[in-house]
Amino acid sequence: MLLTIVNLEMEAAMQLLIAVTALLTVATLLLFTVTILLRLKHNWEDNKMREYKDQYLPIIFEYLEGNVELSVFQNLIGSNELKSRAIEEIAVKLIKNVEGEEAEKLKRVLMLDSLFNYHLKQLKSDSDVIKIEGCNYFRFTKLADSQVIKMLQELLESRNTYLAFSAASALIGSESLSDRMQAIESMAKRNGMTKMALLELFYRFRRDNKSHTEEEAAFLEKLITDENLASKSRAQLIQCVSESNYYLMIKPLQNWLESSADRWKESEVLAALIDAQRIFLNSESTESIKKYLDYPDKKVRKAALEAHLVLDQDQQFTFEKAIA
Amino acid sequence: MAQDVSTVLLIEDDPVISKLIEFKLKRNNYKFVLRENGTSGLNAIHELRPDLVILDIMLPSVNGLEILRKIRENKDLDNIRVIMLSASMKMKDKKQAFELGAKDYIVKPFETEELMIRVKKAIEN
Repeated sequence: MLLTIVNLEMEAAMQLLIAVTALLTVATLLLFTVTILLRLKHNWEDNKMREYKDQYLPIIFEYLEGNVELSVFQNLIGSNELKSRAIEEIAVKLIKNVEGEEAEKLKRVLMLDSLFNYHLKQLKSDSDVIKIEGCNYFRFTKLADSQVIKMLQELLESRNTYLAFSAASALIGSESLSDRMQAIESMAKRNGMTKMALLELFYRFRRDNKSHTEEEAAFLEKLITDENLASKSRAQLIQCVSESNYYLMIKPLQNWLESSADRWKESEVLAALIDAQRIFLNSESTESIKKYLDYPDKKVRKAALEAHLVLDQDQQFTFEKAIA
Repeated sequence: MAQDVSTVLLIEDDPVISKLIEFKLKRNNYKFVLRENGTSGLNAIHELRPDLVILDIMLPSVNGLEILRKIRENKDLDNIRVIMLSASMKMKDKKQAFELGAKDYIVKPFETEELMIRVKKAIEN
């Protein structure tokens, strides 16, 4: 009796095991098939992209030469996403290497309806990664659409720093100074922003091939003197102003160095202000810098020695002393 | 009398960059020749003796620095001017290129106008 019950249970267990194994085999096969199909699709798309790029590359140069009209591209790509991406990739790569009229013409290619609408949809996506893709596209276009600008402004406040920076990188290309100011201010006040990232925005803050304006300088002055700004951010801004050669800021930078207000006496801010005098070769601040040659903080003392060596023609310090 | 046209050989595997450089060089009246990998590039240098080689560092088969080394090791080719093209901004790479005898070093992405000025300067000197 007991043996019969054990046999029956063993049989049921075996059947269950067989069923589970069969299910797992089917699932594995299914997964394998899906993976293969996705891989094949990916390869097919890659080949198609290459084919489209080969086809469109000469046409883009014909367009740059003035031999074909912009409308040719819209007719070529229709609503085909792969074709759009092929044109976009070529245009973006070229824009990075040309300027002037050619860059303007390529920007017009990027503004084709199908491309514009596709990326506008990306900005509205729930995924940060897709939104970043959208921002990266608008970075290379002529930013004029108010809907896009508004969306980029909203993305500046994103909790995802990379997304916020991508939005700032796109917005800094706007013709409107207030948009550009908003991009700089938002990133300058953000925690965890690196100097290199901020500097990248600074290089694009002024319009291409144009001088810095008084208006831009006034904005920067107001931003750097903001009482609520953290010392690190203030120091980074001062570094960016000097490293991007913002020469209209020479006088305020000297005034801040000579000011007795606490916000300018933090070591990192002070060192950045002294470095700025050296970078701008501002010999008028030579006497003010001398006061910091024996300063207790090493970073400030080093900045002062380096500036002193550059600015004071009668200086008695040797380079060896400066780096000791 | 017809003016001499300088021949520029570009060794570059990126079709977009190649086409852009071709576009600019032809506009500036240079004779343009393209090779897409190191081996065929080196053969073209031997065959054509171009006035200038624009050489990408990252290439299939033989890399750009290796090609430059081979050019400098061959006395017949030693007078060929070479401009290196690279995405690397590292001082180590630049130093190596200049030590091997590069005339100039241009970092990608580059302004094509600047490239044309450097091409002109390299050929004139």
